[in-house]
Amino acid sequence: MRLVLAVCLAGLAVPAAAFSPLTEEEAGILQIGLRNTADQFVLPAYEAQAAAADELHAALTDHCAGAAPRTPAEESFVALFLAWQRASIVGLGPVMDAEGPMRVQLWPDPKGFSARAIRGALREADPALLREGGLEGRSIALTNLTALEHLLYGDLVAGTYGCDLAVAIAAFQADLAQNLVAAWRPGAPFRMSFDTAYAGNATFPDVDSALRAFLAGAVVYTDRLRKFRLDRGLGADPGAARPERTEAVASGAGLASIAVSFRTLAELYDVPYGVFDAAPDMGGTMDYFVLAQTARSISESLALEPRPLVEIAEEDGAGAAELRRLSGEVLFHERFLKTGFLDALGLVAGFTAADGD
Amino acid sequence: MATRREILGGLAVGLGTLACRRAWAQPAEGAAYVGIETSAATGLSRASFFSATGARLAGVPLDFRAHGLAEAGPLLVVFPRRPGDRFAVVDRATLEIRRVVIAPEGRHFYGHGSFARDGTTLVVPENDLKTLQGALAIYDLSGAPRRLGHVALPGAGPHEIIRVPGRDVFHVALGGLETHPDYGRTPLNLGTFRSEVLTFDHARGEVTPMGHWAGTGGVSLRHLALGADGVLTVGGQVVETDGAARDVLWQVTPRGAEIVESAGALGGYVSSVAASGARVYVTSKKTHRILTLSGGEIIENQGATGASAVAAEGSLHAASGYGELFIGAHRSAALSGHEFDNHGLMLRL
Repeated sequence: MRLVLAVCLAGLAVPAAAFSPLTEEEAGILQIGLRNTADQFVLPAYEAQAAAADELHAALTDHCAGAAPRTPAEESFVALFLAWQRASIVGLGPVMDAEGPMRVQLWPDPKGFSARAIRGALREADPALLREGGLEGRSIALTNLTALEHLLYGDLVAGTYGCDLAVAIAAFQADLAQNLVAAWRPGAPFRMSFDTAYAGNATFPDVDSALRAFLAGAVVYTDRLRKFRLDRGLGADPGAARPERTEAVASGAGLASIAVSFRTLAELYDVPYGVFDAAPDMGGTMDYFVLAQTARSISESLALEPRPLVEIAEEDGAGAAELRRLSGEVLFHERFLKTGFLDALGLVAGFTAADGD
Repeated sequence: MATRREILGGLAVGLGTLACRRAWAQPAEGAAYVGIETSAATGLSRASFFSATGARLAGVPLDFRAHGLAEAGPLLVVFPRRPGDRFAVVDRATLEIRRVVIAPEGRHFYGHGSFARDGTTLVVPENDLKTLQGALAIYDLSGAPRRLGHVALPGAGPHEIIRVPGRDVFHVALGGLETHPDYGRTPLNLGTFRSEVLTFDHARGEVTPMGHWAGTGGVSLRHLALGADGVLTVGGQVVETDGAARDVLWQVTPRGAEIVESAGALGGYVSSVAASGARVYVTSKKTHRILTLSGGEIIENQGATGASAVAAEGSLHAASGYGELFIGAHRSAALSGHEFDNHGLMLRL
């Protein structure tokens, strides 16, 4: 490991920012960990999302042309939805532009913006929306996966405006995902900023800032997992479940979303020579190793559950109780990502800057 | 008839009680600065009082994450971070929380507020969740807090409000971004928003926009400071990832609003601004910089990790990063497990 680091550090000759508590060597170790995480986790996650979006677009195109049943499109939707659940742990970079991650998935949506946007679009049947690029600049309520789920699992009939709108939304999502892939490819402007944070640049004044931004995204991810994917539909106690508030009710992907979320945490911790693997070389904590094992175990257990989340919430029995217990498990991840990892490296967490204002 | 021993005993208890009351009653006596410290574990804040030499004097635990502060005479008000629905009215002498004022149903506060000259009328920016448009709530704190009403604003996202000295005229940074707590802190009108500064004349109830300045497209104006020379400094924030090189600082003089070129030192993000005399202090937690300006020029550029809160009064100024607070030449560390949050206030002694 040391030799690998020494070789890699040779390309990073500029010293860390003066007010970073890290030594030059430590900053370099973290930079390499971040770079490896980008290569082995972030970029593949976005590539999987882009590939799934392309498949969905193709499946919907076939279905809407009357050349295929709806099932392949539904399966492709779930694949894209779950690919996004993995990629959405990345909370920095171009995904945060404009309205941020809600461009991909606007959920929770208690005001029903997506359903309303779809109803409005179907009523007006504006052909401009169906043209290439016709959804650019339109409300995210119309172009996100929640809206597409409304369409796809509604009365989607081949040859109708609604079907063509579903194709257009899938194309929009495919373009969006491709842009994320492009931004994280080595050499792209944003990726260059990320990879050279060690030397300081306009986006990241030092590697500490890049690390904080990366972890802030993961903290938001765990917070959403706990508050929205688990607590929102299941409530705090037996009898408090609200099945209609669970995620992805129509597609039935709500439980898989929770399982993917835990697996995503495990895989992020486990990136070989990734940012978490950098910690032991700096005298930091190895808590991530245990957290990865428990998260993977939870994910595998959830994958064995045949019932959809909405059914578990409706029953509000032992299954719901087990999911409520997982909410507490998520807190361990949240604390570690929020302060534990950075504290162990001697860095101030900077959690108060996560959302600005 | 009481004995001499009983009288002396009673007197001793009385004197002791008075002494204790005095000790309890002035926990933050001599405080020069109050900052917000937030716990990583709970997400809740405390208002922490420091002397001019950086000595930690006392703290007021709060049941929300705090953002900005306002003071007038014996009152200190601590506002919640957006989209908080309550603010705390603190007795400056005893540090007792006199009242926690809850926003009406369907409204939330934006983290700042300012007192009128009478020291009891409080003007608080808020969000109308039906329309997502901004408003200024007016409260009377002369007795039990009373909401007097509100004034609608011509746009969304009002943030910091400051009063023009000697007048009941306020400047308000109208950030322009529509948000709803059901959708987190995500802006819902990013593609179309415009930001500007408003002037609110309390006596007339009039709101007058200053207009859209050149270069403010895509910038949400958030923070304000008014110098003794009448120069209004306005700091903004850019949401886009590639906005780090954008100018986000303006100064308004009789000549109009002019961009202060900061050569990327602010990373497209101003955390706080403060002014005292002809000096202006500007922080950015994106770049970890504390800038000092004079005459529209940057005369000092210091680093502090997570530079955010800044306050100035007379010759003294204070600034904090995540883990440390600088008051003049003195340094204080944040409480264990806490970070200094966005804003602080220099107290009038």
